[in-house]
Amino acid sequence: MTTNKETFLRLLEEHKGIVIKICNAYCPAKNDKEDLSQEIVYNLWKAFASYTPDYKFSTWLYRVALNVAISYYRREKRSLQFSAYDEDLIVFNDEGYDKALDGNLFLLQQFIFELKEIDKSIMLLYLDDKSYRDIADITGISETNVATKINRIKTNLKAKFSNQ
Amino acid sequence: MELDELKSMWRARDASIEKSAKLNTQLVDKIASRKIQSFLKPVLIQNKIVLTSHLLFIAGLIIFLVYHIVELPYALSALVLLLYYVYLSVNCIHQIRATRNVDRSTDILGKQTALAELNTQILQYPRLSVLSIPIFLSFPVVVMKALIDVKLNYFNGLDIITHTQGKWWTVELIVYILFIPAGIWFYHQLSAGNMDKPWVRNVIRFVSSKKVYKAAQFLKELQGLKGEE
Repeated sequence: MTTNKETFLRLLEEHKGIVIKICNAYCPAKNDKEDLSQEIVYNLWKAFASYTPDYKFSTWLYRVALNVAISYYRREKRSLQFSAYDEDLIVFNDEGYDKALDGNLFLLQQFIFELKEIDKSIMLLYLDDKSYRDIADITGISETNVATKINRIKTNLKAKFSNQ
Repeated sequence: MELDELKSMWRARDASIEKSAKLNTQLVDKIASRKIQSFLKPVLIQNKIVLTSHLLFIAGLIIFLVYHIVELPYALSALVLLLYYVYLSVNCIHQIRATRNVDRSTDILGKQTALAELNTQILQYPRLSVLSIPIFLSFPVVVMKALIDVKLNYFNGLDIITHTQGKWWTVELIVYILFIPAGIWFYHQLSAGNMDKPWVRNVIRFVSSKKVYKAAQFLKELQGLKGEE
């Protein structure tokens, strides 16, 4: 393995949680999650040559991975260019990945699934405690617009919870 | 339940999933070793070929125009074609830029807009349909005259303007007056930005596939996000 690939593997291992979160948010079905995770890793590796360390790796990863997820989600079917391997990219030592959620977390997950592609990415970044500046940087939307979007999402979320 | 509390629970759940996850490094290595040709490369090559052919045609039209500048039917026909092909070339350059932006843009809005523009590229044909009517009439005028100029006897030396004793030219003028303004209007109306108009939505749905229709809707949404800024 080249040093470049080793660095990539190390960074990916450190930030694998982001890939898991994105796959969970964009794909309800397990097979799709697996295909998407592989497509994300492929695109991350392809773009890794252009990554500069003066940028935060998590911000860069979010940008690439969310773009892949949105494109994947919009295609409705797997890309003809990328055919996934049958083995799992991320292996879980318990059933945590697929464990059904109870109560409020289940409602929150349902809410995320129902959001439009771009709103979904904003919500994921918000839940990950990213600042409005970081969200704006990743999405390309201005900070003011991000604030407006998040307020709108929060209002809808509150309404969903109060209806239960 | 308070939103902050919900957020903390969500993050705790994310952390526990991450803790239980192990990356299959062998598979990462396999994925990284794959060579998949980008779908953008053929699109880029195709647009470059089309642009080159347009530029060659424009050069020919300019030469034609210089030689026939005082003969109104030929000069006007060539001018109409020239403007049309200049527009097509500008559009082609825009598509090449969009193709490159898919790779260069890193933020979500920039990349998804470039992708949606590429996916709706096919809409250019119905958009230009009305404007193409005057072009169809101008084409034989210029081509036949140019062939006579270079002494090529493809249509038995036929010049459509003199052969029809000016009738073609009269029809051409009427079509120019009616269809050029209508074509420009139609072109600007039939765009993703006007998807909120029912007739535009219906035309796009009728002339394109489900995929293109959805891409146009998405492009409208993305343009809205840019516009709100």
